[in-house]
Amino acid sequence: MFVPFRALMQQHWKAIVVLIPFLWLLVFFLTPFFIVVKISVAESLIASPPFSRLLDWSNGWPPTIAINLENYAYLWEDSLYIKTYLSSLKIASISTLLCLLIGYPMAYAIVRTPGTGKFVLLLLVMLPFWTSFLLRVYAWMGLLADQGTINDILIWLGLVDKPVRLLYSHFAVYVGIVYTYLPFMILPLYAIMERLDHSLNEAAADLGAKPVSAFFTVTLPLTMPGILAGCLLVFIPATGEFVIPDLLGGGNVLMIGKILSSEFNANHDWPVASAVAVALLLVLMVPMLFYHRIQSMDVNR
Amino acid sequence: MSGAGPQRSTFLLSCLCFGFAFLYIPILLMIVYSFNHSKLLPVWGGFSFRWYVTLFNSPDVWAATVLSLKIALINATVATFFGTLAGLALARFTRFPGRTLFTGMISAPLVMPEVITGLSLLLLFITLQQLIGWPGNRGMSTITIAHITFSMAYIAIIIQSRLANSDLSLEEAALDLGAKPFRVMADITLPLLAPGMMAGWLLAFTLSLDDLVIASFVAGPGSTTLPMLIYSRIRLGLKPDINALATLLVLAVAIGVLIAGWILIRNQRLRKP
Amino acid sequence: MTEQPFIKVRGLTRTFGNFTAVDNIDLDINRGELFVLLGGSGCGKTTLLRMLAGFETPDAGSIEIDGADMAQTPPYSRPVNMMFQSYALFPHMSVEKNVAYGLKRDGVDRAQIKLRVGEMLQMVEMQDFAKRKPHQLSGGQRQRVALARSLIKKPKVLLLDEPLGALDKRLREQTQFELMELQDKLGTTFVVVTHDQEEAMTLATRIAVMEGGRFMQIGTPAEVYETPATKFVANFVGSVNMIDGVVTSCQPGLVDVKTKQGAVTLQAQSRDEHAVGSEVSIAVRPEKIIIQKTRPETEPETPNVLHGTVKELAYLGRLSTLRVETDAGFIVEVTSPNTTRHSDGKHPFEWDDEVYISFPAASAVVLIA
Repeated sequence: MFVPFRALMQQHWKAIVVLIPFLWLLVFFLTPFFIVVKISVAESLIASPPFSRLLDWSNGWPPTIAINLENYAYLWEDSLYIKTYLSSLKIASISTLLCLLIGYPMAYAIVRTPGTGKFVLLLLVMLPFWTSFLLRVYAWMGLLADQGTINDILIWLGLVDKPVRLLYSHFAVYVGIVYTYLPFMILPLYAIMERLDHSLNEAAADLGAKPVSAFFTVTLPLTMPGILAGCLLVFIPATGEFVIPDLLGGGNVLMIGKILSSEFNANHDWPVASAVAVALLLVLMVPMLFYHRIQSMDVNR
Repeated sequence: MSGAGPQRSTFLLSCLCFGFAFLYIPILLMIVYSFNHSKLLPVWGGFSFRWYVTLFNSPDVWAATVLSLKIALINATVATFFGTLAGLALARFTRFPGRTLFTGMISAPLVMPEVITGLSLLLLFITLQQLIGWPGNRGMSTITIAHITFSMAYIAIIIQSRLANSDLSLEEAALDLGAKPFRVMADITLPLLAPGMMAGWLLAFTLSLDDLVIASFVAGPGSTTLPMLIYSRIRLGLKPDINALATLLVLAVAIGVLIAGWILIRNQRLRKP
Repeated sequence: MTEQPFIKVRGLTRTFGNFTAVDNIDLDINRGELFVLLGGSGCGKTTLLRMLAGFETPDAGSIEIDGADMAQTPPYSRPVNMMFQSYALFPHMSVEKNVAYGLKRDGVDRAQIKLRVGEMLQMVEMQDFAKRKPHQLSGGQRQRVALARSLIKKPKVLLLDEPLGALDKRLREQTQFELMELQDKLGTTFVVVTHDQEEAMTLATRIAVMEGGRFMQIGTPAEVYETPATKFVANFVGSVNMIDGVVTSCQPGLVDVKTKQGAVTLQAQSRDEHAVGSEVSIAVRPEKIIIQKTRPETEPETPNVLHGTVKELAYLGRLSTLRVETDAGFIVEVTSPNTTRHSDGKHPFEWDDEVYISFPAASAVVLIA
């Protein structure tokens, strides 16, 4: 038993190394997408499973192919869906920008910290990332609630006399997304700033650039790949975010992840849920391919 | 001009302080309120371990924790194995049929919205069940499979970048000294990857423990992971026993990360002659 | 050369996309030689070395080592070992394990391995560091371990890629001699790649100067230095004065050249025939030029005596380098040994001194283009 295994490994190990993960991904990553696409062109039925078949064998060979584009037409016609897609993109874009505005100076300050302090600070950025995402969102529920800490402080300061509505609003969703995705922005920025040669800034200063212009002419262009990577890492998952709008946005915030989930779980309309997913994927295809390109450029370097 | 330096660093310092305050104050408050005796969460009713006791006495919390840990362990181990193979293939085999597809399938899960991954995997499991009768009921096995699928992508990227940065001449030196390619992989490549694999294992473990969306899709009735349990409770508002649970989790992670960080920093010091 | 060459390379070519790294090369290296491939970066020397080791597959041509064709032999079966530029010591193995690695792969028994590793570490004076990991060693120590590891399998040929490149200058000079001693003792054929011409001159029994994937000249250090075959070789190995001109007469062994600048006639020895009127360069090494304050006592018409003024002067301790502008207009670099000490702190020559420089025809070489 052992000897043939060894011989097999010696001869075909390269093929085995590739095939194991390849087959897994083929079955559990690629195939599911085709199923989603398939169901998105099916008709919704009250049955189990609740959709019509793509290939109808009832008339024998050849089977009739039933492609139903009504689900997509429905997404297009019902203004709710378009509005939700646009609202998701808007929320994701603004959150990404906020992450960048907070994350960039933080990453820069961390890189500039001398010695071991740098690692400690980086560790502190990572630490919340390793703790539960759900609980971090929950922490904000406690802060933003009507009887929450922030309102308590505002009332105590006398700035307001009754609680301000903070939870279940767009504001809460922005805070939640920025809060949970900030490490995703800081890490790629840190990685690229770390590699940056500090003497470039000194050279710019030596040639007469004031700190601000040195920053805009040297540091910023050179950290562009990190900015792009960080923005995409925040923007893409934020667009499809489901938990944050659900917990912090309540019924007031429209996001596509929520619609998809309720279409599937509450309405049991699998074909429409699948169509929503396919459309979301199409919307995100451009930024995803873009990210893939940056990533492969980085690895090749 | 002379004032420019310190001024700028004040700006950076305040950014740093604000950023860390933003990151940590919510967590700290959550911890503080876990010791609140009052049932009404925002009202301070004195210091108490009451909610910790409640937590330890709830069997569903225990069950969910055990299930989540089991899934995380299996997921981390299998995903590290698959992910390392995938990373090796990506970094070292420059040409094989389907390489483009392979690269795409590795990098896509990293940025795929969770709702899509969850939905598509659930539909796959349902289809498979109709076709071959497996999986009979959805639960631990389907959640684990789903987690492995996205975790291995993270690990593959870690391994690939480690290999891309590593010195190819080490492997050439082993070849030169008479080691056949498979031997080179076992003797040189894999040992050098060990730290990356460790990091990947930990990442996969945490990702699995943290996942709510995908697990909610692919889990069947009766199998509730810890995030699913937390979610079902906090949807309806603040729950003090969840604060206690959060405090314990944060503590566990903080200790783990601090130990890992300390080892990392110490190693870095040792490496520098 | 009655003996068959030990390494026989014929028509070897390797291209990377549009770039030809090694271009149709023939090469013979004899048993026991310390052969140096010398050239700048991108000249193809490392690619050639990697083809000998088996890491690169030639696009065309053949490599024979000790009579055996290497085309189908993978790196792990070749009778050659390599010392890498980065040393490529396995960071997760101790010094001892690194050195033993090659023997283990050959299935040598444990006692034998222990014995030979001990001997080898003794030879490179690293026996006290056997248990250390590579990152606990200094640069010089790592170099010794890498050397020990590549020699332990008693390869027929040892390939060394910039073996001294990572060492500082002082250590490099000392290590050069140790390397030569070792090679002498073992009798192994060494093929060394370097970009450092001084290192090449010190180490080599023969040097091949490479440029653009081809050999410019192959010869002993003295041949390459004294009679460079091309302008490139003359410039690359040592410094040289290159004076352009036109051939005015060509007697057997002696060529007269009228310089382009100033139309002075210079004379040089040459084995080759040069057509009258052809454009050539006269190459003279700075140390072969005699510099004097008074005109040397020769016939007034004797060529190769030029009058000029000192324009630049660099005192280097052991010798001084002077740049003399001749009356003809061109600049000649001269080195003059500082054989005596001048207590007044003055140099024998100073800026703007009027001097005579001269060189015998035998010291100059005629080079085409």
